[in-house]
Amino acid sequence: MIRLIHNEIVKLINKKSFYIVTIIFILFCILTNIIYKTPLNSDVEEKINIEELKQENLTFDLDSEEDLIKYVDNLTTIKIEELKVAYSDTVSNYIINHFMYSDIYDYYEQQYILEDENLANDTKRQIDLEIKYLENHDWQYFLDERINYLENRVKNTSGIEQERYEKLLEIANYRKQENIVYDSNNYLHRSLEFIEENTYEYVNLLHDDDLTEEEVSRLDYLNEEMAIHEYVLKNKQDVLNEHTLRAVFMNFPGEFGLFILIYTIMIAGSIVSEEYSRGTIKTLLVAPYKRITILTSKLLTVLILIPVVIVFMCLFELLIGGIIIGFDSLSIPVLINSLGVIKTYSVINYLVMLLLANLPVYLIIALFAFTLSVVTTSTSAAITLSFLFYLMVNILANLANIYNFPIFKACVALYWDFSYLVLGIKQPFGASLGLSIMVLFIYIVIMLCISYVIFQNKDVKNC
Amino acid sequence: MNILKIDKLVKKIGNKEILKNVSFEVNEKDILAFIGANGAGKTTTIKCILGLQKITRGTIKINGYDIKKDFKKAISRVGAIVENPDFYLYLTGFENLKLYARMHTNVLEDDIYRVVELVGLEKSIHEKVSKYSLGMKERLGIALSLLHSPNLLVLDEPTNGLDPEGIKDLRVLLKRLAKTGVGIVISSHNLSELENLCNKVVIISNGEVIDVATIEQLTALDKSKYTIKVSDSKKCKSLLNGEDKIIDDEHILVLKDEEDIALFIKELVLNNILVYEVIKSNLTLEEAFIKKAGGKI
Repeated sequence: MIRLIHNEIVKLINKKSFYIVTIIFILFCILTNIIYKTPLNSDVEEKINIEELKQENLTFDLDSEEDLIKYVDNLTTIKIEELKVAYSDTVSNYIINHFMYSDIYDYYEQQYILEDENLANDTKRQIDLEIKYLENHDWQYFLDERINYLENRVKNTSGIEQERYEKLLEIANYRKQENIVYDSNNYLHRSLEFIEENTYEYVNLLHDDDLTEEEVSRLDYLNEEMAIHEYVLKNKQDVLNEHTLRAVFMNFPGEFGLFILIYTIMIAGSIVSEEYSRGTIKTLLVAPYKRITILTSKLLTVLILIPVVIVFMCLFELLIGGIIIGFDSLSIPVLINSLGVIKTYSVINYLVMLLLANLPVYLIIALFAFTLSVVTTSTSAAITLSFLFYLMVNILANLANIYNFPIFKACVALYWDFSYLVLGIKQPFGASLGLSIMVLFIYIVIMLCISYVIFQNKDVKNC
Repeated sequence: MNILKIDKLVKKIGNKEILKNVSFEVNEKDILAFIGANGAGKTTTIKCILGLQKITRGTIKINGYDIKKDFKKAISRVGAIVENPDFYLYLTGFENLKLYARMHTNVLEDDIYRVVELVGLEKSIHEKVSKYSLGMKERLGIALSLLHSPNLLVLDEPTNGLDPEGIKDLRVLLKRLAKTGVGIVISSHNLSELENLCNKVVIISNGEVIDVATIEQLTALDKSKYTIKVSDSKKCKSLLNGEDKIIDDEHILVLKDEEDIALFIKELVLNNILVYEVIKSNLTLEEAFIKKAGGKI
């Protein structure tokens, strides 16, 4: 038996198609890693046309209150934009947007709406002072100002409001303590920013006893995100970075699942039928082995090769991704929020668990292709129909979610993906673990019976 | 000793009887020519012998083991080429042999070199089979079938694609193998190719064995027919024997091989019978069988 399996592996790994798919996989792998490495400019800021605003301001009637407010608004925006051009680094931009806006607005308001020259001059001095700090890149000044302000608010408020300010103060103090600059390239800053931006809503939702369904799911989301960002701050690990090798591995089944499928179907769909089309089945069957042994050796070859191929794909990705993106990120654990508790796994553990949870999908597809290969003795039919099968059962699974026909319940795609166990979420189609295993078992037994009975009794036709 | 014994083999596909009570035997040192037109049932019989097709009725025993009940033991000493010699074209000849060697427990790497030398493929054995000519593939097929030292060799139309040189080599090889005790079955639609090789002939037509002939019958049939024009045919009567006969006053017909005909002519002359003309007409095995089969082939 081992000799036969050895033979099957020799036959497979010498095949051209095997190399062609591998080369395509490597190219795909390189491209995927390059895409992961490239930062996406998702936050495309709206470009504000200062000239346009200035032109618009000329048309306003300053005696009309409505126009006056717009006028002040525009002046503020123009000033902010001018400052941002003058101090164009990300830190300064952040400070201008977040800390200087209100002062600048106040200044124009005092000057044009309140028409209080003294107050305006005071504010102007304050703004000039801030610009000086900006020039010196003294972002701590702004942080100290904020801490002062927040401390003040904590003292003078109560209840939910106080709780919110306490939380924000905590964040600001953390920033001061850890010396985290306002730089959107810094992942710690991004986490702080997320918490700051969402604290208001989060605390409100926490204290609301009468939540709508939408609010409940929003609160779930915030709970999870807050926990993750707090984890980032606590452990100083950049777990949310999507531009790392670690991120590629976390999405491995999604990114490279197609190739696992191609390899699986290619191997399982050709291993029997190609012997027939090539005529070598005669040599094989004239060897002193029972047909059952020959078929079993082929089946075992498929079952052995699928995990081996997946391991090799991972190694290729490790090598290619490591060269393109770098290996550093692999030491950062993967966070899984399971029922409100954050669990951490090492990247390798997570990857192994995820791939194991996905393995039944490939096993069923492999068996299906294998059975077709035996029944049709046509490689092209086995391969094409197996891909169709994969597509069809996925469509059926989605239909089963919408329409409650009992026949849809037999669709294997409802049961074959166990990654929900790893991700700590509910089974997407609501099937229990026991039922899933039973359905898969029935599928496997049926397909094995068909292939063995047919192979055992098949005459080698005359050509 | 019986190496292969086929007894009343019947093969049905659907309602159609492809083989009807086929029976014959192959003993040690036999080279059996299995002759029939295309579609007569040669390949089907061979596939039944090798267990590639199911037997509807009857038994096939190889080395005493029933191919149906005791497949592994029955097949273990059989070497075969069925239809075309088929290989993994993307592997070299050597790799193909190695795959096959691995399927048998008692084949060593030396055996591979031995059979390669036997069929004369040393030069190209490490080239991919996809580059082989049909004749080379045929040689490789023979090498493959000999790899595990079988005592029954089943060759389905092995001369297809072989050049005259190759056919000659094959004859020499098969004769040598037969001498060592191997039983050989060779199918062909062309008996003349195998005339000098086989010691047994089985003719099959429409799934039925028409005739099984032994070497003695073969040698009898191998004589040539001579039509001789003589001065007085009646005078010859005392010299004729067996199947020789007088055709008319001037012509007689004798069956003799080449040696004997010279002596026969000498005797005619010594008996004062004038010889005007000797016409030799070859009676091939095939013709003989056509006659026997009533022209059915």
